[in-house]
Amino acid sequence: MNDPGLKERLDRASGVGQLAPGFAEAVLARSRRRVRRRIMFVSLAAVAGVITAGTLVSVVARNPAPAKTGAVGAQLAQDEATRLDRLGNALGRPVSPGEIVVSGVAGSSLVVAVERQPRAEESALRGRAAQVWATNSRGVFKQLSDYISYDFACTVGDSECERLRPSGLGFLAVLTDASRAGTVFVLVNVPDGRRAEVLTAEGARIPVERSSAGAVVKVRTNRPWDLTVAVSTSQGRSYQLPLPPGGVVQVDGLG
Amino acid sequence: MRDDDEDFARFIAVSGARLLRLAVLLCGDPHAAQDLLQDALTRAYPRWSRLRNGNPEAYLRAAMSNQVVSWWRSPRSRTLLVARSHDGPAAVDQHARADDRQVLLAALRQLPPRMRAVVVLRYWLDLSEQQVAAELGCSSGSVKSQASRGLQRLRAALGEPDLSAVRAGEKGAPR
Repeated sequence: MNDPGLKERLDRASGVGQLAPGFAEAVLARSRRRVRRRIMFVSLAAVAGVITAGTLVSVVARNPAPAKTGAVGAQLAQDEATRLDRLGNALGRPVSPGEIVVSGVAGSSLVVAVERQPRAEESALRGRAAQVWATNSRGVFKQLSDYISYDFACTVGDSECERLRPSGLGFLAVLTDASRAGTVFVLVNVPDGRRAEVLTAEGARIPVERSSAGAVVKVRTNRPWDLTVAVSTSQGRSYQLPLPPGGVVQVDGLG
Repeated sequence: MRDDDEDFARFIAVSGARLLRLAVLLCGDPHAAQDLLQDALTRAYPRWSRLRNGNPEAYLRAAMSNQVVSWWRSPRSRTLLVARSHDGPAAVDQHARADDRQVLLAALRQLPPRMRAVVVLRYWLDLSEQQVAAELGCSSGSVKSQASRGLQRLRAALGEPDLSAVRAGEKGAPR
């Protein structure tokens, strides 16, 4: 098979490019729905405050921080409630701290992975899913990804992962930003009692210092799709946390 | 926004078929190809006002190529793809071309997605090594080796002799 012969065969194999009926309309409808969610909340910009790193984790901790005392504590608690409210407004429903899968800072944005209803076929196998949101320069939440699976799949041959999957494996997603070539932000959370380490194709190993709200880890790599996360348990076993479909999210401007 | 929407719809009408054919080859599966293209277009939509003035097809080619790799990296997708490739023989079609199509798509599916993308962009779209490297975000050297190995593996999967060594001018080729 020479190259011209291959080209002809590929040409035939590619078919005639018959788009499904209503394809363009479906794409536009779906695209507008995603954009509409962002446009709706521009009006919240007047209320949005500057997000400071120090209060981020407590806003979205799975286990809410203990009650703070005094006027400062009361103000912090109020700020946290406001930010959860704004996230809820962006989602179109109230958000409880227990629904936050990961929260952290990426660039100058607050990034949050929020639990969502998984697809039926995934839910049937105890898979879970999340959406990823981030604040823009005005502190308004915008959606980066509407569906990322977790607790659903294992690398083929990873028996430890298969064994632990029913009790939960953890969440993993990667944000890439064209304006930050060579730098990505890894969103990761693993069940209590386990440790995680991000491994890059370039050979770097970055331990994850997680809180109850997981972690957002800044990583230098030119190959985000080759990132892996190694998770070790308190019993000394380990598994690989797989990157799910759509797990590498390309973002415009994390600030 | 309205002008952008109309322009976007026009782009889909003009380029959709061509992009879908690319998606079929990138996935090795006509059904998954529709999902791949729809996903890429949906992600491109918010950027359309900028993309329309550049090379949106190149952007979508790169987006689909990278998305297939991302899908592949999930073992769930790998399992699904493996299961599909182990499906029973494709329904026999009376036309030999349909059989040939199924055979080639099955052979393409056996290539890792990155290698498959390189083969398709190089040998179907006739992009240069540099162009492929730019679209896939890798080096020209990587494209060269992936293309060569991909071609060999494709031929092996199709049960055809590897003719690359006998092409005139090839280093080390027997004369």
